[in-house]
Amino acid sequence: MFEILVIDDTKSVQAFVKSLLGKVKEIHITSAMNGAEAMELIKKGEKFDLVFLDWEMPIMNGPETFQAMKDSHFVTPVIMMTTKNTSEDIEKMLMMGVSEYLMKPFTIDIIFEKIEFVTGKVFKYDV
Amino acid sequence: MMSEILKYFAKYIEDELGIHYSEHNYFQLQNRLEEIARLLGVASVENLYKQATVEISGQFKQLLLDIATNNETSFFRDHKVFTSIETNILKQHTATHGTRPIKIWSAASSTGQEALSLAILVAEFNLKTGSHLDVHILGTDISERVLTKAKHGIYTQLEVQRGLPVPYLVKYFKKDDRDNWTASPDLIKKNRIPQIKFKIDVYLSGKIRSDSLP
Repeated sequence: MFEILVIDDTKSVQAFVKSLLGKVKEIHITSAMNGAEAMELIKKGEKFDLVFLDWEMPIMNGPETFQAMKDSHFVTPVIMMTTKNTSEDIEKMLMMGVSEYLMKPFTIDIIFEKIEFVTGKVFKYDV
Repeated sequence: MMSEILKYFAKYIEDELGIHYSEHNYFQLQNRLEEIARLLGVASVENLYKQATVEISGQFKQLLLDIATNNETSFFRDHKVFTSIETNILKQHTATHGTRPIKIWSAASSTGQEALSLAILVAEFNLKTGSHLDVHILGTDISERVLTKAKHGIYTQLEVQRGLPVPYLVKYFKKDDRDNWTASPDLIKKNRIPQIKFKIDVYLSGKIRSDSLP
């Protein structure tokens, strides 16, 4: 099973990503509503193959959560999700070690393409 | 009557471009003809047909040819092809001919993503290998509309996400406050990205173009 952690405080985005990725039976999704909740899972030793992390969140935003992950030596690839970001913001996060960006709006094929960029995994899905 | 009209336009497109519209795609053709009628300020597809029976030329012809092509494209579409270009063409050419310039023709270049992907591929190849390979890229298409977009090099956030890894995006494009990304001339210059020329293609009906690159 390919384990994905989705960290986003917006229930609609969570549901959207879940409904898209849920089309693939080899993928299992765990959701966290914010960075603090995600860090609890990570500290408990839960293992993931990939993380989708939202930039804008009230409790621990994306960059803070990513820094906390790095401090905990969590080395799973992270795809940052965002609506408003400048090129400079993105460059900064890439320098910090974020693997990819998913910029809203996005489509199902873009999600799976990003997963392939980051992990090399190609999933078959029906639109 | 409408099916006769659609048959007429389907035949025209096939004669001009060699692109076949099967009858189960006629609804799509009809939608697109309605769009052309709207753009040309013609009241209906029937009136468009009346005009076509007299003459199809100028903007009318251009729009008809535009609708026949799907213009579907993305960055690094079919990445195996790009890997192969790097391995079998760029590496081998450099090993055999050093920095002798090469010309690449991006035929049916649509809105420019393929030509830009080639340019990025060459720039990255030069950076990675320390080569100074000089590459000239020519993008051609039969559609003026898509070429205009290609020349401007401005893409929506959705378009740049199709096939383009984010590290390349921030390296070669600049984001504006309307969330569009432009292939930035400064970044292109800084990264010594090959120059791309976009030109209208002289399409030969139904035949494969066999003349060499200009």
